[in-house]
Amino acid sequence: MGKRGDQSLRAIRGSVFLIRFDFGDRPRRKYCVLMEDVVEGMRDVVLVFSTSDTSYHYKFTTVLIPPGTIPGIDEPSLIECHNCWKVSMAQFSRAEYLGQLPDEFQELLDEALTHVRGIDDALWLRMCG
Amino acid sequence: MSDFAPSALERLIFRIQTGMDRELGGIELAKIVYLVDVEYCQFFGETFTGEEYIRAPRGPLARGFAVAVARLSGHELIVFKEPGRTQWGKNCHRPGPSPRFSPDLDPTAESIVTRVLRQVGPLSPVQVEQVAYGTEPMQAILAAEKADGPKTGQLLDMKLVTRSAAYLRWRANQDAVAEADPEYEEFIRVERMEVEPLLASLG
Repeated sequence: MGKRGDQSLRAIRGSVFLIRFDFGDRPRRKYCVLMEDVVEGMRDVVLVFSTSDTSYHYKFTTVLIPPGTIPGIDEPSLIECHNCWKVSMAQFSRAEYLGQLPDEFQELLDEALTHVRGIDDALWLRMCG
Repeated sequence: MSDFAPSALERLIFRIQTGMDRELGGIELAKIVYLVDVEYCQFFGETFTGEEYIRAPRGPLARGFAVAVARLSGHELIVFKEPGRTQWGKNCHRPGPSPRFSPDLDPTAESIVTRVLRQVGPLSPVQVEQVAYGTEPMQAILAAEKADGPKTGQLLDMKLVTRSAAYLRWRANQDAVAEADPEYEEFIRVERMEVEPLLASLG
């Protein structure tokens, strides 16, 4: 399992993270992909979150990650490119690094990004490779 | 508040200098300005600064660069001399003591500048020069010089910068009429609604 904090400060685009959310008696886990290289001085980073609901795996804006592709992710996971968020560095420091998205999946992600609607140029530019 | 009205070039110069963790030589700073404009051209087909670039003896140079640096000097920039290759030394820059405006750019320009600084930040001045010389407008000038001799002072053709195919496709997809899929749109909305409070819980 990944570690928190230090490695997120030198993570690169395509790194996959687990974020644990402590909701008292309802702890939650979400996987996400870092969409830009992290460099010193950044205030926030852009993450795209995945879901275990793979119903829409055929959509242009999604990328299906089969189990075992990333260490620690044992179920199919669907990256939905519309589910992108700017996350502060303080929040991001809570993320646990799991591994790197293989190149072929990053290419699928790049392709999926060209179909995303409803986001502005600035956010898209941050996410594109 | 100062009534100083900086140009886009002046804003960019200040942003670049504040974004680098080292002092920049004048020629290196000029090249990074150029690289931001080249990057901007890739996406938007025009420069951020609106500047024209000439083939200067040491590489690409925005026509307004020297004036812009002079206007920023003492406020947003400190310009000082270091020993250089010539008897006049080398102009160096670091952030100045009394900025009259914020280095923050609009979010789109900020995305472009961040991309470029991420690329050139770890490079030496010589490597930055190599990147600048590798761009299409400079390559065209270098090819012309090989054939006809020096082209110092000639305008660089920024239209030679290759547009980002991915960006153009994305823009085209924005404009295309998409078949409505309410169920899928609801799926996206629910997924996003789930993440928002989770992120808020991180503080």
